Amino acid sequence: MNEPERYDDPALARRVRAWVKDAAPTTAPERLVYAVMDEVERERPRPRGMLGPIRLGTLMQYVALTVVIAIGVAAGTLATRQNPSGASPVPSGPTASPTGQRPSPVPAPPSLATIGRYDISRDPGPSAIGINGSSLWVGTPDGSIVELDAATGGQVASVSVGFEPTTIAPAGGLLWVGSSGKDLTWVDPVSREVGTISGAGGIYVLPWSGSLLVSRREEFLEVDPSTRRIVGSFPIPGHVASEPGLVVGDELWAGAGARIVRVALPSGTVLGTMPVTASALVAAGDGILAIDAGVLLRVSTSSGPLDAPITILDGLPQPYGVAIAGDRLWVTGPAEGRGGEVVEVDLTAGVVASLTPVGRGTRAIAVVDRSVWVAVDTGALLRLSAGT
Amino acid sequence: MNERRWFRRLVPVHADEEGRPIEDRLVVAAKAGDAASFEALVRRHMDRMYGVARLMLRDPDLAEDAVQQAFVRAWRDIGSLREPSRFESWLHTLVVRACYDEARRNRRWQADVRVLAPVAELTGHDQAPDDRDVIERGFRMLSPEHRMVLVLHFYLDLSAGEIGQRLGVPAGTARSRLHYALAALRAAIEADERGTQRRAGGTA
Repeated sequence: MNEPERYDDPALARRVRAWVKDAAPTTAPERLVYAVMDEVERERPRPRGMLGPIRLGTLMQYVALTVVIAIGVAAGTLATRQNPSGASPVPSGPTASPTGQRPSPVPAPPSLATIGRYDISRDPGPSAIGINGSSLWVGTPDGSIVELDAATGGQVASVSVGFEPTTIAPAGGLLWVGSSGKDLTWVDPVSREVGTISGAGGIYVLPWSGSLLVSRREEFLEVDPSTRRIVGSFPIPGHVASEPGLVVGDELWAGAGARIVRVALPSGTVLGTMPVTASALVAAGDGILAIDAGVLLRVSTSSGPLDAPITILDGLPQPYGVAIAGDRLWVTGPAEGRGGEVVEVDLTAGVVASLTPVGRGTRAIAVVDRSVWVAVDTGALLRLSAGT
Repeated sequence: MNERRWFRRLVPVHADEEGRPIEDRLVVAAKAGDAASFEALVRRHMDRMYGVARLMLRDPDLAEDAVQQAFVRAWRDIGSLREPSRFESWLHTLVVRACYDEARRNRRWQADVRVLAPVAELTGHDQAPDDRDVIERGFRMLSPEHRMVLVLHFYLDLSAGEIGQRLGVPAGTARSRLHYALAALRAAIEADERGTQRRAGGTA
């Protein structure tokens, strides 16, 4: 809080604060974003070709416009006569180069080949992918997790969990399944047994030093996977459950509105904040990367956090899924409303190595060996060849 | 559909001193009519704005309507926003207004006073379920203005001065409203507890 308030009844204020924390939803429904943007698209100016039948008033406007243009052309001709060089007295617009030509376009990067397609679920497609040994575990919107053989793509098993998973993370011999619900679910990948830890639910589940950290509003819960109990909590002021978190060594990095918060583990001490609105956080070989509104930023190096983030690349899609393999970063999501794509970034060179359109929308990504697995909204899991 | 903002390799630059250059850039682009930038702004702020509306209206459908109205209003009026850095506080104001509109349009909530949220939605680990029920019932009995000031303060962590800006009232008025909102909540809780005791006594 910016300025402390003094309450007549501090105990009541504490109770209200606790109630608000508990009663607030973790995330807004995705359909709400779509509903807003549908409305926005409807209100955007239409191209002229889409205008309806011309009415008398509109016709009069065209006539008036034609007269104005004719006067403008006549005035321009007169000015040209007065200035035989033909140079315009008005500076060129911001998109024109000094020579009056637009800059030549950057060549498009290559696309990856699709080497497999596996129908897993219905629309809007698989919601999470977890890697456990040689298996892929894929969450479905109808409330199950499906095991695939990462070598062949063949379906091995399906376990019902009763909700749409947001994360699937292996720890302590179990698979931990995050969601927007109140409870945290675990699945034994061998016996297929399913259980829950009441009140420990969260969107993201991050393994840390034998424990699990679960992303919730204003905190990450610590869960002991062996006893399957909540053993602690790390407060993150301003954090909401859908904002990303990342554990690197004994530090937790978490999005909290317009800031990234860096927390020491296990003390929970806030070591610092950084002014970045992170929609994804990834540990790269030599530091930590964040994606903020399509911009890839370096927020720390191997020697520690930066005073201010360094921008690397602009134009990435909204990161619905990110994965890292060696010096390659893989980002999937919708790019400026044009549908889903997979972007491969060469982190050494700081350039886009490949760009693969994958339909209308994508939701999750994983990289295993030389295959990139992408969940798309038709319900399929695509397997792309990561090349060399 | 917009043309692709093609990948640009950027020279290392630092964030500006305000620390929110990217949000400012999105706002500037949205002001120029770039729907993709506006969508990025929507995604950044949607969860919190939905949280405000859900808490205030205590109804998911009304909350969705209010938030949708607020964001659509933001798209229509973003040209009038002079300082990009004030986008978030301006959005708060739009959501507050939309919530008031929804509350006025739907007087259902006055009839909802005695309806409890399902226990399954209230389970947690740091507060007893009974206490949550008590606060929930008390909160539902407050006026829209009192609910809103509590939500802005306890959910968005806004100070009295910031609440005043969002509501268009002086900081002192916002502080006073917060004081009376808590007092009204305490009174509602005490009334509820007396009622519970009477019912318990009647059935003993």
